[in-house]
Amino acid sequence: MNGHSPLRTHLAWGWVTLAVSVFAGLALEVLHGLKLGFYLDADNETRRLLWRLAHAHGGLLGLLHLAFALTAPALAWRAGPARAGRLLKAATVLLPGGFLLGGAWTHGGDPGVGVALAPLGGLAFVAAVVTTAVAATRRAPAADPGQRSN
Amino acid sequence: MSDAGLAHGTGARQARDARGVLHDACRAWHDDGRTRRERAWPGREFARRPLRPYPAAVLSALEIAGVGMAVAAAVRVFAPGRAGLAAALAAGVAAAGAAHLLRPAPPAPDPDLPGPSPRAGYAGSDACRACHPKEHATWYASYHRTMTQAATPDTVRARFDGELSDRGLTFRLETTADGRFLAHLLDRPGGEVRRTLRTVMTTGSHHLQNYWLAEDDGWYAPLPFTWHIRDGRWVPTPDSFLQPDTAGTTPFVTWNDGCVYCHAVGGAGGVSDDGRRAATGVAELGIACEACHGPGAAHVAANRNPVRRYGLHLGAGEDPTTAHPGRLDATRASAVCGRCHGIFLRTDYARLNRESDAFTAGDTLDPTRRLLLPAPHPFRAGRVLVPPAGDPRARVTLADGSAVDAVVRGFDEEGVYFDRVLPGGRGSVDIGGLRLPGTLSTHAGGSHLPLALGDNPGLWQSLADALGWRGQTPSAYDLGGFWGDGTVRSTGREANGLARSACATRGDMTCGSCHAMHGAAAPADLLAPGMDGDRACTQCHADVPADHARHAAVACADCHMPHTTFGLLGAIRAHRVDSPTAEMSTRHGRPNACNLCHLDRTLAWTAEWLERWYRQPPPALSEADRTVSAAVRWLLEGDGAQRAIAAWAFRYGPARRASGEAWAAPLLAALLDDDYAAVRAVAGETLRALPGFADWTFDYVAPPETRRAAAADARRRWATVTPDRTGPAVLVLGPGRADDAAIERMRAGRDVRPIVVSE
Repeated sequence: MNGHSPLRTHLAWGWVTLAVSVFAGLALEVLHGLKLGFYLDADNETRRLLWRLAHAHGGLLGLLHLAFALTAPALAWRAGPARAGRLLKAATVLLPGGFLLGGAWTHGGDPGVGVALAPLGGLAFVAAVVTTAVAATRRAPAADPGQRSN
Repeated sequence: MSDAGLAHGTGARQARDARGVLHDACRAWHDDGRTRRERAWPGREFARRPLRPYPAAVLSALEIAGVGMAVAAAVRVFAPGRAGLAAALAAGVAAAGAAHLLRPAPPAPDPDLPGPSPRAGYAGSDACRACHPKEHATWYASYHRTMTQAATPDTVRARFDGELSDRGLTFRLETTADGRFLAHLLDRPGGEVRRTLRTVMTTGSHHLQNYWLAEDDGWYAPLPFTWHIRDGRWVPTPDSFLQPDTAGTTPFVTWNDGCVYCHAVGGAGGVSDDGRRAATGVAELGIACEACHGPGAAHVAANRNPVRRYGLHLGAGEDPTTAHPGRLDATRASAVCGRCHGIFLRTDYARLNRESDAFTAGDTLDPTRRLLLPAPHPFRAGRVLVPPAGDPRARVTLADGSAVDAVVRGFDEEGVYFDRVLPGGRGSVDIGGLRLPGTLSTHAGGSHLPLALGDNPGLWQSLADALGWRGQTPSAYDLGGFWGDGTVRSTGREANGLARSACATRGDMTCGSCHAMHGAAAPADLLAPGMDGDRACTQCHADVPADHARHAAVACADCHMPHTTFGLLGAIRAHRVDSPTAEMSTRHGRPNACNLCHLDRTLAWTAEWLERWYRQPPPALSEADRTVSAAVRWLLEGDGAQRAIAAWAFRYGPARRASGEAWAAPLLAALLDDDYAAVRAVAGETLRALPGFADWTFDYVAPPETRRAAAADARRRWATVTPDRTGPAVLVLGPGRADDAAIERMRAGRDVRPIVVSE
């Protein structure tokens, strides 16, 4: 894996997503600290839940990008890790983004319509994980007899 | 019982035994008999609550499946291959089965509490929370929720021990170690136990709390003592309400055929036809979501569909599966509150007690109840008549055979009243087929047929039937809740006031114009934010001239909603929104707003200013109206309600600022031996608020000699205070000198007609 490989970009995605999530977590703590009603009042319970979900999923996905970048070269991909990587990136945008938007405008106990992005992100997440799991459980192809080992 | 049944029963019993052993073992393992707090704070004592039953949800179906899967996975790890797979499956199934057998049974419903409501369609307030968290939270924090609660250590506010005795009944109270509240009825103070009754429900959680005892045959009878939460003491229930001491146990009712319809959701009396048994059911104790929004099961089911839900969020019309009082027309919106907050007679009383209240949020009141809006008595000041509920026409036949048509104004214990002058003399009156012989009398503006209806319940009922009253019939007891102009004077009955207000009859004012059930500024009065000031009125009356009030610091409500409603041992604002007049006091006995603040002024003074400022023609006034303060007259010679309201006004902040306060003690002291406990309570509370009385004590249910001693002490204390008003109008002649002869004379001449202001 060199500095320009696709997997290198997952390291960038991972750390950037983690940074955004950490700052989001700090922001949520500030909302608690200042006892801001638009986040803490009883009628904003839905917003509180969704923004916490956005924060948590962002952090988790950031870590997954790092794990993906570090483990993907060792897996037996049928057609390379690019598809799983794209799915993971899509999930990283859609899942926390859906929760964030769903919590921005709420209807009582229902999130705003922006939450519709979240299940799409969830599907992408599942597909990425399943694709990677398949690659992890496949047997590595037999070594090319013509390839010279070091 | 078949063998299979026997086997099943044995298995179930063994499973229950196994659960019991398990629970005992768990308890022994979890604690050593001490609570966590007790372990954390050795040596300190804490109130102990009963051990709660192990929640049934702990080992849910998912957990059972989880146990099975975990065991199967573990077996599979150590036993690879097909044989291992089979062993894993078998172990998993066995583990899941064991978990199922060990699953504790859900706690059985308390057999002493009301059963489920026979009325279908209720979902319960828990079902509302997921979609309406704000509304649920604000309701949960309200006194509506806690109006009726199962009696538990968390809900009972009283010190439930010791012995209570009043009016020939003695109870010894006991709180058991497992958190039950027992009331032992004794044969005499300190005597033997005749019966033991369990307290199963509470009513109220703010000012007062009452307790309901599980009686035989499903009835709930009141413990005849009320816990006064602020004072932290027991008071006999009759002494907690405005009624004469001699009225005995008048407010005693059974929960099943009274309280259940307003203090619970979906209440059904379930009273048997012979009236002996009650199978009372409720959907939920307390006043919960579905009391105001209607049964919610259909709403919950329909809105599981997210497409429907988001369609409604995005404006695709109203949801027909529920009622939203804020979106109903004014009549129906007020009916949601008025179905309980009113003095009304039920048209479906028989069905009501047998089944349930047919009212559903969104209905008008008409089909199920009729608000009582009494007519003023034509010539007895301060009294009201039962009005006709149907056709008021009558046919009067005189002794000479001539006949004239008449219109019935109403009736009371003394007869029937007509709205115009009829020829006098003997004759008979035909009202809806009921023939009433008698001698017609004439009064100013009308005639009446004297009849001893107060002594003849059968005739009262027949007359009520003839005048269109169906189901429940108004009684003289009901009339006690009204001032002479028909304005309701009992708290919690605001719908009767609203129905008399031009704001509602000519405008669209509803309860929701000023009050909010969700997001109110304070839980006590549930006023919507910003509605505790003039904005409540200026939201409609924006064009009121700036000098309309003629006072620098007076709110709209001070004049148009004065404190003339009594309840919970205090006064609250009238919900009949109108303007003060001197006539409402002279003719109808209703204290006017001016004299409830200007306590030192006469009614003639009020009439003069109302004429000068608002061009009101002054009414005919008596000599006393011109010489003695109106408030002093209500205080000393009024009826029970006037005395209580006036005694409360003497501690009302604006009144004390307008009228002074250091002159009132000898007048209030005269009420400390009043024949209404509530009047004594209010007078004593007001005295404590006056200068020099901060450490003065008074028990309004103490024996008369104790109360008289407290009154004498009050007079001695007042003698050390310089009065800030003197003169014949206030019966105070100077420092330490009151016109005791006048006070005594007025007290002796007070209105002793017994009244009961039912709350």
